[in-house]
Amino acid sequence: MGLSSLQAQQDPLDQKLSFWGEITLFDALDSLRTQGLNIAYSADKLTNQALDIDRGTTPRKFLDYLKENLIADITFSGSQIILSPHIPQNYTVHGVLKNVESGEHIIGATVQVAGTNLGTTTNGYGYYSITLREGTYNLEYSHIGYRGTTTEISLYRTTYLDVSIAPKITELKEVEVLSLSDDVNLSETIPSINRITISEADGQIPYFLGEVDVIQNALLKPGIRAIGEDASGIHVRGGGVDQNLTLLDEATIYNPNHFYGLISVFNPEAVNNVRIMKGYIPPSYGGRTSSVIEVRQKEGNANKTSVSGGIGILSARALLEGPIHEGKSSYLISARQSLLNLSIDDFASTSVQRNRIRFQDLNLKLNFKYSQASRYYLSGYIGNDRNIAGLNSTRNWGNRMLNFRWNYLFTPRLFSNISAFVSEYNYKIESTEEPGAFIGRSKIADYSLKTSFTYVLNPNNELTFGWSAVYHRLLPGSREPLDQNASSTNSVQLENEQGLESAAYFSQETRKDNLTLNYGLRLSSLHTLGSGTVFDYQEGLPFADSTIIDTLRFDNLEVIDKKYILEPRIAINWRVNNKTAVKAAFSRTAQYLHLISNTISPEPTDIWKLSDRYIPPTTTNQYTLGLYKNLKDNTWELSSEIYFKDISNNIQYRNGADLVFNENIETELILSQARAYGLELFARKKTGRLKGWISYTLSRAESRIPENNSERFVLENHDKTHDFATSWNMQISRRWSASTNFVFNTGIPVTLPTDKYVFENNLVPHFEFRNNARLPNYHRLDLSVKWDGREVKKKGKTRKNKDYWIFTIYNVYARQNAYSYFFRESPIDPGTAQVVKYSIFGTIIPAITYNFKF
Amino acid sequence: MKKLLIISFIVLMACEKVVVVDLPSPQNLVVIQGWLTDSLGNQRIRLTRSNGFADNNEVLPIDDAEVIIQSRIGEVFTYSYANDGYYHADTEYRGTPGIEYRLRIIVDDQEIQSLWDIMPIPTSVGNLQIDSFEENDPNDSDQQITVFYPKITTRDPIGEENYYRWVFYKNQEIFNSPEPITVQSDRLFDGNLIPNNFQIFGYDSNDEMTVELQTISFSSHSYLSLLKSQITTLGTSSGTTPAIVEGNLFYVDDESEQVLGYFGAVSSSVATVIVP
Repeated sequence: MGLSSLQAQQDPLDQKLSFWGEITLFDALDSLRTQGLNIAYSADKLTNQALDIDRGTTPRKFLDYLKENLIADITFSGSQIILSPHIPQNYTVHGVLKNVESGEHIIGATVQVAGTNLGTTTNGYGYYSITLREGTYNLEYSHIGYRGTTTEISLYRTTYLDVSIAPKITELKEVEVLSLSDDVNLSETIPSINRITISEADGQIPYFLGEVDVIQNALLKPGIRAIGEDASGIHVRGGGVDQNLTLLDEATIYNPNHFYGLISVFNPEAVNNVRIMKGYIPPSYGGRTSSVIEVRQKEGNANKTSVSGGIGILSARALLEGPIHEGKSSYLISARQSLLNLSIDDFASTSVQRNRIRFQDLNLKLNFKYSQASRYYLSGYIGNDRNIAGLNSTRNWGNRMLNFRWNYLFTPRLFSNISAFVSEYNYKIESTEEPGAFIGRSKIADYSLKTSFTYVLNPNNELTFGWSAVYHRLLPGSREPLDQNASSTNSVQLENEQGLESAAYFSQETRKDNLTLNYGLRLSSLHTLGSGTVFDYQEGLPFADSTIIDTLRFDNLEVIDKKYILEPRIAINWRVNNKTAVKAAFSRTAQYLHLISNTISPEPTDIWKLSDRYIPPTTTNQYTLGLYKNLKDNTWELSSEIYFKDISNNIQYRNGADLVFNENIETELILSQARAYGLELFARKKTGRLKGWISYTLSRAESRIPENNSERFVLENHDKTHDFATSWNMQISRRWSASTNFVFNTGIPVTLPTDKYVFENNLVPHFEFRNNARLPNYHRLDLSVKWDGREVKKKGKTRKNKDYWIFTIYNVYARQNAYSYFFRESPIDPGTAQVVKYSIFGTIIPAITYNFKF
Repeated sequence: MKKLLIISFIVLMACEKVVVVDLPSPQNLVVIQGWLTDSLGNQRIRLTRSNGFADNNEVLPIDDAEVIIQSRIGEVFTYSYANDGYYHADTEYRGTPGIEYRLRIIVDDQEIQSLWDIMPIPTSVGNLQIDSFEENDPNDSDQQITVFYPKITTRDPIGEENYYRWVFYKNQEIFNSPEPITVQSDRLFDGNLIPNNFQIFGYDSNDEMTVELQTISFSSHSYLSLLKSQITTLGTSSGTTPAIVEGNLFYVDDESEQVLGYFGAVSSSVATVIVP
């Protein structure tokens, strides 16, 4: 019952007080009694403190004063007014952290309660929520790309607090680097996260033809690598290329490559930030066993309309963003187009034909703030590669994605996100060459619904839970005559596959003193659904066409097979002191989709396959232990981690496997047990005129396969024992800055022949053991220089538009790094065999790009 | 012009270089190359040994083996050593389509056998025509030259799995460049008229153009496809991983020991024309 609900007329609470001036609490209460109020209190529980009361105050105001100043809690029981000592309550401060210039929400920023180890990070939508015991606090908001800020808050009720911070532009302009530097690397519970923010120095890392590429940037971090330059896909801690969950605004992207893997599909203009989780995958993520690569698009400037873009040798890109409703809703649209018909010689192709390739991307994002508690996002992406091989064949492939998300705050402590998305990968080939001019297609489409809830129980406990359902529809391949009348090819259609992959999870993050524990469980499942055909094989014999004994047919949506896997995950952070943390994690992950590929690096033609009766899900157990230390007020970040990964049902292929239009692919597979382990060292300087990092990985990845009548561990094709990378950025003067990187790694394994022999005039290399040698060591140095356009006009006015040039030199000392060895008969001396080293980039590659924003 | 320059610049970046690497020691395995055909005469089997990859010599012939071919219907054909690893049939004979054959060899007192391979019913090569295209003369870019190529329309038998190998001859010499092995399956063409244009096999005026269509077994097709992938695409990013080209031969007493090569039975159909 509130004070105001008491009757107003003749209410003794609204009479004037009979006392004023300095008075003790007990005297005042006794005086109230004499005024006819039924006051009850216990003199030994309340403190009899001195008060100063204004003249003319009413008893009601006096009681409010006692309550607000935490002198006593007041309860009304009938006509009795009970005063009891104040019991402190928990209240929540929550809100959104924003970029002061664009109004965009800032993801992954630290919100720390000064002088304590309490704190949180802003979630994927820039939202934060901290529940604290009432009191006055200083909240420190910090993010590496922004100037941090401290805000004082008196927390005696649930408080909504949006905070805006300014991006760091050029630190030279600052008299003194006063900004807070975050220690998110120490405070977050889970180990081994790499973050990339393109708008900062990360965007200036020199790369091939001056392109800015998030994936290439990631390759300079520990534990993340590609086989070689012209190699699609990345391997994270010894995992396969299909084991990374690549998300663009939370929707799956199946093929993140353009142009044979040299460029990723993520248009740097539209990307806000990238987070790669490789040591621990929180229970809210699943479906892939190796890592989560989370790419978030920018939201669009909610304050003003702006255009930015760039043009380089390889591609041109532009972005338009602006408010729909100023300060509340915004849009973003961005496009990228390759400029030239690029080609890389396929040297060993017997027909001397060149591959030409073009690509384009279109990104879209809208976000609407409906109310303080409700916000909608719409993200879309369309990408395409077009490859003309020779004269007669055209291939097109690309990803498409549309995602609708709804953020809703049920209460300040319960944040929810619901997302519904469609994601597709298409491949199409048109060949006009006879015989068999045809159109071939393959496709994978996901229709998905996901929910997640975050509930802040109290300052030390946070609960996350949710579920997801993805309906996968796979069209492994169809082939139709190009022209019904003229073509001699028959129509072939492989059976479509359908599956429902669903999961439910919960996790809790709990803190006690210096220990933080994040644990949870994910229950995932796959139901493969009809219509479909399953072959029965003779028991005890290898799967082969010849051992098929029965063919089972399933109707539409009939459950063909079901699998359930429990995936426990746990991570512990021991914050030794404010500079040091130790973290340990275990995660078990399951994967129900597999990329069917037996080439050295994946091809756009490769198809995805659902687990089924014969292809079990791949599961991985990963153990990680790490030590993290920050030096000089978080300016330097150091970490060392060790990991061990145990991968079951890793899919390998038989020699000479025929994977094209194969109706029973299980006959071509070998399931292997794989393992990967390593040590990763990382040191990074985060602020100052000179910024950059050094990364070193010592690792091994191998899988157990049958070979020459026995089973043994064989190195994976992507294994690199030593992998060193360093990248630095230096602000030289107001308008000039320079970046450089250097990489060194052990060559990847290669299979060298023991023998040669002749079969019908063909010289054939013969191998004994797979991956029995290595390519020569790989090293490369790249440089780039950035020259900012004038900021001030000649007359002294500030220029509204900003622009800059970047000059890049890739492979500065023209190292001819081996991409592979191949074996051939000497063209000069028939009968003699040669080992030939093939380099993709045999020379230095200079480039220039122009970028603007207005 | 500028655009052209950049394109050629990017194309030229890739480079190849012959290198010397330490190779593992050789295994010196027995290699068998043997095809039994349905045409009379010239039935040969070749026996060699593999040698170190970096060794200079081309082949190591095996000249002291016993070689026979058996049919499922009880025939035995003996072979004798001729030269350069080749063994010739002692009597002139031909294989019969529909019959299974296998090879048996004694080398160094050990017996090697092949699996049975069925000689398929031959598919007729069909109608051989000559087509042509113009191309810049590599010696004089102002001049155009005419390249003639075989254009063959073949009727595939309906309702059965057929596997083919195309062999080209130019003036009676085997012509296997640029494509050393040309194989085809009727999986996508079953029962159709297949119009093959072999543009990559270019002939000049007055050449004798011979095209042989060999009908082969599924097993022969698999072997040749694997062999082809291992001699043409190794080392490319889109290439297959290096693998042992496994055939259908084995040691009777010790199946774990390897024999390289293949024995198969093929039936053939030939067409010849003179390029105008």
